[in-house]
Amino acid sequence: MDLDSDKVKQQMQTIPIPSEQLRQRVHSGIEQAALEQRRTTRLQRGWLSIAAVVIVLLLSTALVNHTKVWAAIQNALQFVPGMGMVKEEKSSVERYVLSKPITLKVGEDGSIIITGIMSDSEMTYITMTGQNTARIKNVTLVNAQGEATLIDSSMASWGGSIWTSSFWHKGKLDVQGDVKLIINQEAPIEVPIYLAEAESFASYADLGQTSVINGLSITAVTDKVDGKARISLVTPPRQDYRIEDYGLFGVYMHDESLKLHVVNKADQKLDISSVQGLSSPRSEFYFPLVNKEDEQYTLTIPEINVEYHDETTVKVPAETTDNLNQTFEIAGYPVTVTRVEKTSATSLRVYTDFHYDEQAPASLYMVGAEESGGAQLREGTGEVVYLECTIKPGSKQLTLHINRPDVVLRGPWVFHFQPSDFSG
Amino acid sequence: MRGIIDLVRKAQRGDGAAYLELFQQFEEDLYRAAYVHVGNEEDALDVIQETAYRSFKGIRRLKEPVYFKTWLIKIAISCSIDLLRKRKRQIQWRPEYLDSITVSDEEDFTLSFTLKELVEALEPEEKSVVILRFYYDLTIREAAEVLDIPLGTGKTLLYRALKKLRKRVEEDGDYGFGFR
Repeated sequence: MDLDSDKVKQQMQTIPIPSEQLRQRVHSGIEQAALEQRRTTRLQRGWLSIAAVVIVLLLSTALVNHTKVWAAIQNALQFVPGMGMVKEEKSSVERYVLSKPITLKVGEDGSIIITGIMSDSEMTYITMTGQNTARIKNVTLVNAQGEATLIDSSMASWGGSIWTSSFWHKGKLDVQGDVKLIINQEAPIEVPIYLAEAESFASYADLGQTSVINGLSITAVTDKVDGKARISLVTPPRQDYRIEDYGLFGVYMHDESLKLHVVNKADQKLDISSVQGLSSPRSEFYFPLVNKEDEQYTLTIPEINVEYHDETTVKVPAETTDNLNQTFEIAGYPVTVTRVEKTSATSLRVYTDFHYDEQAPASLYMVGAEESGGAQLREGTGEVVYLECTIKPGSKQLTLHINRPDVVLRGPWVFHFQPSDFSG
Repeated sequence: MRGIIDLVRKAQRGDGAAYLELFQQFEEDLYRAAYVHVGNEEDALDVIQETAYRSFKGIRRLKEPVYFKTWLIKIAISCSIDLLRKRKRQIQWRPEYLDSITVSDEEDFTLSFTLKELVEALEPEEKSVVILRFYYDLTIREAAEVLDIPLGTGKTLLYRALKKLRKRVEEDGDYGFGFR
């Protein structure tokens, strides 16, 4: 009984290679690992194991390579689901949106939520999230005239049994009237859709209640979905930093009370739930409404976490040195390298003082470094105590490429709501 | 090999672009191995994405870059088997693909197994051994090492796989499957 090695090869060579998809999937896998590693590195800095939901944003090669497309997606991400978009373009744009998310039950314990659809003269953008179902690779949009358009997933993320995906089509589609969305899976799901013309708003404050603290304006857009209050938080785009978290997750090692919370008139904390979103930060959440006319709800955002777009390099000795006290600046915040300690031939601990002040309007608490694989964090503040860095054996000096400065901005941003704000 | 080692080292320092370049040298072979395990394009692509993900996450733990290829194959096989376990289902072949399967040498019956037979007749572990032995040209000892199984088990799996293939080829012949 024999088997010819060439025959196996010959047979396996008959398997057709889907080259483009293969390239994209490899790229996605590597991107996912890279992004997760960056996040994990940060979480591991405290040397503590924490249960964290990992959200990963994947960008397909095609998207990354096309800046125009990416700009369009960025634009779409500023769109408030179900509401509209702050009018930044000069001419008025006809834009259609899905007013409310649509929840679909799949199988025994699976669900898919169509979280948003936006369609205008440039593009159509659909976002979806699912639990305990296979990830959806593409959807088909069938317009009132029966014309079908297949739209592939442009971004996807997953963790455990939850996935999210967005689908992007370049160009105008006629989406007026009764539209069908077919979710392509083993048993395709056909969903009737009606897209309403989006309102456009002259300013963020027109979208909802707005609170401005320490120069940062946060607007809370209210709505009622499936009997629950829905709040979407939006801020005008900034050049200097991007918001990482509105406090739904909270800063690692910070007190629970510093997380975003909602209380009712009796000062009872209400349960907050959110749908895993496609883009960081998570900005949309839900809480239960009480059927009382005089009920009041107070949303408090004690602090938010932002990452500045800044980086710098610092040279430090690669041998143990006490009383170094070398100060550099990143994102306008001073950081002092107090001392360095060589712990092995290839590792160096760089001790830092972030001049962290809990009373200040803002504090730098974390930085990344290309040469660092971990760090010790201080309990309570989460600030870096030392960076664990890799050095070449025998080297005299280490050049640290410091990047991704994380800053906590302190509020509180407070919003008061009446039941009428959630009239749906 | 020098190039591969350099790319592995760069990837170990977190260089995603280097890892992409490295992975792309093996992606088609890995895809084919995954395809034989899972039996369809979509699942094979899932396996490859997972392999790229797991391998880049774990690249720092690879002590000997020279064994990168074997290490990667091991991950791909593990991802394939995980996916099959997760699905807990038999492989379903797409009908449209059946037409494209070719047996190139009808005269030599003992060699006339098809890709379909390779996929359908064997258990995942048997496929792994066959692929490692005959597609990647590893010795049975090396294949057993990749799969973390004793040499004896590797031999048994291979023997069983060949026996099954032979039986399946004979059966298919009897029932006159319409492959070209």
